[in-house]
Amino acid sequence: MRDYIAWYLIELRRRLRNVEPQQKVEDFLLETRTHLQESIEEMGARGILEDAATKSAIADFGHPSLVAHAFRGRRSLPSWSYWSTVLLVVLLLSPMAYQVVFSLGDVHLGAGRIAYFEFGWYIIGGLAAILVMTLLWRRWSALPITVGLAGVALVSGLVISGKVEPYKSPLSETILLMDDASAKKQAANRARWLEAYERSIVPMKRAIETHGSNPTSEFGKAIIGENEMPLFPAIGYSGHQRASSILPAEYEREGMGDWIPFDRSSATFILRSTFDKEEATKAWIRNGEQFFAYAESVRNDVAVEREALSKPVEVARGQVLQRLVGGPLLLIGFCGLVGVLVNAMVIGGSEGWSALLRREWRRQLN
Amino acid sequence: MAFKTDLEALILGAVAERPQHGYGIVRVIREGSDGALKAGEGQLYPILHRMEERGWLAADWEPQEGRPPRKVYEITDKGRAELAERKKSWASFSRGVNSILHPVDRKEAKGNA
Repeated sequence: MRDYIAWYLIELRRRLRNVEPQQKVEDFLLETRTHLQESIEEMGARGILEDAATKSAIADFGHPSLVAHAFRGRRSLPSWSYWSTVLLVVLLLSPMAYQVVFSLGDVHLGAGRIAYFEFGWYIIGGLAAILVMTLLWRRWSALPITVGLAGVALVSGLVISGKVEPYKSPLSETILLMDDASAKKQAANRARWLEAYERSIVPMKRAIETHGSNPTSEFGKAIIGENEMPLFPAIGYSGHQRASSILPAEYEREGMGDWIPFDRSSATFILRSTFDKEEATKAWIRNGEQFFAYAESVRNDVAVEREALSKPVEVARGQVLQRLVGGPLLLIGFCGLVGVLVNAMVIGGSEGWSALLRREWRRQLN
Repeated sequence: MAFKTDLEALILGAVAERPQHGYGIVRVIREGSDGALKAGEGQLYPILHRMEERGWLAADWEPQEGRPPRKVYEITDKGRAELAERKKSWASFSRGVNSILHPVDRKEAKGNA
């Protein structure tokens, strides 16, 4: 007898392992055990053998999955359905979160990487909020708490953010994510980096402006004649990486940054493979134009960074609060409310809105 | 054919006279209805818990000698008010069903009036 009851209780407990509070589950299991024992005793008094009485009592009580389902008071959504609902909500929220992060910052250097980092946390925060709301929201009495929590998160996010678009910052994204000391250190490093970077571009641009990008010019002849391959800088390729690793003095001495990528369109390749100076000249000019365009964009970036670095670091701290606290709170609040809605409509089961409406409908019919 | 029973009302009725534990409620419903009604035993406790949360029932653990304690449910004032509502609702429902199932009685009742 005990084996059957023990088995039944184990099965029931297994199906209720995720139900909170667990104390309630323990009470329920104790009641179930007492109930089964009394039922068996009563049947025993009527002369039914213990083994048969036990089986009958368990059968009368119901299959563990049905009993657990009734106890949870939730509609029997299969787990895939539950998780796909959560996934759907996350996917629906992702573009919005993406826009929030990417559309409001206008600093280019390093922005993408950091924004992705934040974006990940935003999504994790939103997902966690939905899950927390799902766990909390089990009955109507919990509705004020869950809505209240989400509302507080939303309002706090709005207050901390200060305005609808709190993320416009002239500062580098990297600095925004650091504390005061780290931010100052990072600012100093970045200033040094920019100096080296600019130093590498200015002489090159001046040289090209003076001599032209034509390999038949004085400048071009000198380069090709001396080296048999143009030492044309390709800042856009990996120049900035080199700039950050080479000391300013050495960089100034080298004067050229990185080599142009050795591909089939380069002047070097054409010259070496075809000895066609006319084609090589065209490639040289084309490369020069590309370099000019790129140099201009880099100069703009440098200007933005310089402006950012000229601002006091204290400004960054306020914006750290906005970005790291205000933004996630906004998203968590929003996701929390979505979580409440999803629960109410889909997962709330016998206590959900849809069930409530059905009950009300039946009441009206009666 | 059977009409769907209102288990909550039956539970309130079962504990209206005196407090009962879960199995006692099952027995009252079964014996009180001469075996016509049978509470779904596994479904009973979740409903009892829900009614307790709604304040219709108050529950307390009763120790038993040499056996595990059992939870005894007692009807509250709120529960009595709910029971009165359910009784009214059931009376209205059963009148309606009777008037369909026993049209002769209905006509007689109207004639007498």
